[in-house]
Amino acid sequence: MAAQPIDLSTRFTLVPAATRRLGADLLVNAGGATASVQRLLGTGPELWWCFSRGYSVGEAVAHLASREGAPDDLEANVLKFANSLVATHLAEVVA
Amino acid sequence: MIPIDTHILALAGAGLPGGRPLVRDEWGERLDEVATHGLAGILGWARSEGLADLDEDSAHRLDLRLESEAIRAVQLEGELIRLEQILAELPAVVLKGAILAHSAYPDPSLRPFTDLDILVSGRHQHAAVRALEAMGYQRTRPEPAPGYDARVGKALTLTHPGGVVVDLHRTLVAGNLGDSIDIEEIVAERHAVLLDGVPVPGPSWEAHLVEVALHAVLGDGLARALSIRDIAQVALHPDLDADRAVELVDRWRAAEPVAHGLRAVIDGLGVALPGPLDTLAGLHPALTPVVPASSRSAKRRVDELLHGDVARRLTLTRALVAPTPAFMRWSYGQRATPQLYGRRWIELYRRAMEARAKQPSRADTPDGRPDGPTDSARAAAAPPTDSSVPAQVMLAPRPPVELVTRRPSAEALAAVGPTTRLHPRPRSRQERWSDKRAPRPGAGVAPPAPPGAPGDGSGTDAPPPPEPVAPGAASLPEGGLRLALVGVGVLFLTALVARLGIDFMGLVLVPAAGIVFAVAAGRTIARRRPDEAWIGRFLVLGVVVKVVASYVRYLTLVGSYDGQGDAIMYDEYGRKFADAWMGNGIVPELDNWRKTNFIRVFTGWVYFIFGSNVVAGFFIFGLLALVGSYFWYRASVDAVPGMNKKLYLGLVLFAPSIAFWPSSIGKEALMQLGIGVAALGTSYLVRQRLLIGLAIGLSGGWLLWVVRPHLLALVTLAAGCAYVAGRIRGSKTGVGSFAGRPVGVLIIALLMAFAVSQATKSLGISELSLSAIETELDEVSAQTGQGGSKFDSGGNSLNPLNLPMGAVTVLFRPLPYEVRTPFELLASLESMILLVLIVKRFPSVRTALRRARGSPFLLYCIVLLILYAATFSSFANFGILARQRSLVMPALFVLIAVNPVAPRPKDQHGLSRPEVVPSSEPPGPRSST
Repeated sequence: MAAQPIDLSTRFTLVPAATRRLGADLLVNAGGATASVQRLLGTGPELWWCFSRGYSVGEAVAHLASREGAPDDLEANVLKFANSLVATHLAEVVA
Repeated sequence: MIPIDTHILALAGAGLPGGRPLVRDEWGERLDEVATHGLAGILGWARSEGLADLDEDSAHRLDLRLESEAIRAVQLEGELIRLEQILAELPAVVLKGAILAHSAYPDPSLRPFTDLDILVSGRHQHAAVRALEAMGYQRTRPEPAPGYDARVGKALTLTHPGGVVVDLHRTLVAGNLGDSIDIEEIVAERHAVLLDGVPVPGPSWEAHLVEVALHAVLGDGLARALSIRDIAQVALHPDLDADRAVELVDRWRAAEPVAHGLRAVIDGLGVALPGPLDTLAGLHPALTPVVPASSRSAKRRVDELLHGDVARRLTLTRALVAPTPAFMRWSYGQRATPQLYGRRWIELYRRAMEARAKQPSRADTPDGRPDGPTDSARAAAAPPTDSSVPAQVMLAPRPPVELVTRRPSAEALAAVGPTTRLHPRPRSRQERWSDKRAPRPGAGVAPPAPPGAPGDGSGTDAPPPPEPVAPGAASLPEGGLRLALVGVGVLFLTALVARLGIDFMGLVLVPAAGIVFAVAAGRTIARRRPDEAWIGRFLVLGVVVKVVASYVRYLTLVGSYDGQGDAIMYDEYGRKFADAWMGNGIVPELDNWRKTNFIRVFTGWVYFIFGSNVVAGFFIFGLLALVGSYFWYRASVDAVPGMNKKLYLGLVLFAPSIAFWPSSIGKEALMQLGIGVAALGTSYLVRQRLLIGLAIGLSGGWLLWVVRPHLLALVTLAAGCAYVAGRIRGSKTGVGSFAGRPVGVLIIALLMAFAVSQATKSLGISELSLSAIETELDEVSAQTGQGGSKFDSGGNSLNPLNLPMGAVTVLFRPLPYEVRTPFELLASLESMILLVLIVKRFPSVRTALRRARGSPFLLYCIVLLILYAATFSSFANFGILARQRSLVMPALFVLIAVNPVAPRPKDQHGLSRPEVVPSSEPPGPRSST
């Protein structure tokens, strides 16, 4: 099955997972003993928070853009992050 | 008294209302100590708040530690999410760990944890284990005994190959205290704590307060700061109802330990508690040193054995003394079963001795593991070193904004795969314990670990190679041997508790051991001799009858003789000896260890080993006599063809005189054993199995020689007559083929000479003449003709014409018209029944007399009866006579139990056809000695 394209309107369902902030990073474990812990660096925690509340990619970009010191290429980075989530099976695109 | 440094305690109370001020520096040097107490997260918070200073290197080490704890915690929390369905259905609650981190502490990073503690009531334990096994978990050890998990154990541990450890708790505290805590109530009142939106069941805060307090006080001995902080966090939780918590503590009879825990919060952390909890803590104003779990364990186990639910006590007994073979192989390796149990009992004994010496013991659980804390956090709290934490994980570059996912250790974690331990960390106590006792290959406990997992042989955690298995160990005979080992174990347990000063357990355990031995012997005999498959029932009933008889004998002694009897004197000496050997007195001085003195010393041995309890002593002596009765049976049916086996065994086990008289602490019981052993030896001798016959006979003869040398003389003379006059069939091989008979005659002659000389010496007869013996017999009559049961023995003469009267006196008196006391009435009744039996089975007696030379063991019995009649007829006291009679009655019963054979018809030539009697030799080849 071909992967669905991700754009600014895409929303996600995150898999049930345990998370914990570690400084600016977020540790994620989906699968407990049968899965490894992944580390979302930098602003990963905020994006996880946004997607877990049903934000679309565009809404997440807007949310982060309101923060002080946000980078210029925020949209590209968020899209990259969203693709990574899907690729690592931590999130599924809502049809 | 809290065995924790005050600075550490101050750190444990940091951030709490009333918490003591922290010192700013020193923390770099004490980082390891901080981590060991589980306070790395709190130190990190204190540093971020500017309350504590750390140099750069220490700060880096602290960060590594916090990362390690966080990675571990998130994996465990992920596992709780994976187990959500199981936790909901069992039902179960999660204790401490993630529940406290997420809903009691202000930040989960303040509360590290390294395993999952799940509480399930006893009746759901097996279902929980099955459910977890379905999720990939494996028990770290087999169940020690059926029902142990559900009734006895505080918790059992399961591990997942991915590195998660689950402690599956049955109760909050080990021992009888745990019984008063209503686990069903805890589970019924559970509430949900959300972990990333997933509900995880936790106990009510009131129940959790009890749990964390018990854990801190009884599990950790108030030696771990994080455990005390847990109490404070729960006690101060806004949802906690302090009044209800106090009510719960009272109802669960946990006031003392919980109060200790609360007191530790107040005094140690300086934190003020809500009113009702403060009042509860005030019940124990001065903190007393808490005895660590390892030191309490043996006493607590004894308490569990003595009190509480019977099924639980039985299960615990089985687990301690005779665990399942799977458990034993897991504990000690793949060895032959007897070796395993031998090692087990030696270890138990050693622990009991340690406990007696008030040394710390590890007899807490069947495997020796302390049953207190199961939380592995403390052991895992050692700080990680650079070599133990991959640099890729902990030192990953952190650009200010990088919106990509990345595993914490890109290369290392990719290599180990998803089913292995996620992050290297110090081995927890539990894991080290599990690793040490990893199932041996072939033990059938758990499948091999996957590659890379602990114990897979690829790293330093590899278990030792399998030990060589003794040839044939896998095909050890079942049933009898194993049960006999159980019996030995029960006796061992008796000795064990006696070492702890509990003497009365022998009242239950000695009869229990007797029954187990009887069943074991029955199975073994039935396997070796299929025609005696019924014998087990007889033996078990024999044990029961003997125990009852021993108790009646004891009551008789106490009730009818006002406690004035030989047994009481032996009891007093036995206690003195036992106490002295225990180091609590002076060993009584005795001129020698013969006759009465030997019984005194022997009683001391019995008391020293099994505890100083007179009734248990009666049981032991009685059961020894029972063994003697069985030896009589074995000797007779093996040596005399055509015995009515059931009749004979029934007579030697259940005849009132034999059951009753040799059942007390005294000479009769040991003489019953000694004569039985001597009879067995004679049985071999007259079958020309010289060496084994002598070996057995001499051991029985030694016992007779030590206690009653004149009995040795009678037995030896009887055996000599049987051997010399009987038709001994020489064996075709070995000693018996050539020189066996002459050698045997020579040895018997020497033994007879020795025995007779010893007897005359013992009796004080200066010369071996008929007149001297008669004079001695007259003296015996005078000595015994006292008391309420005296009678006129009719004079003593060795004239053969007096023998029939002597035999009647020894075997049947008092006759009904001589009865004066209730005991004499009973003895007379038995005699009359015996007479009727003899009359009814007179053909048997006639057959026995006729076949005496052909079956020399019959001759042995006849001669023994004659000698007994000649000597003991001088006794002029019915009471003494009845006791002495019981020792020779098995010989009389042999004559009664021989199957009668009709007179042989003559053939056409006027010659008798040979008798055809059923063989009583056991099947299978017999070696000739």
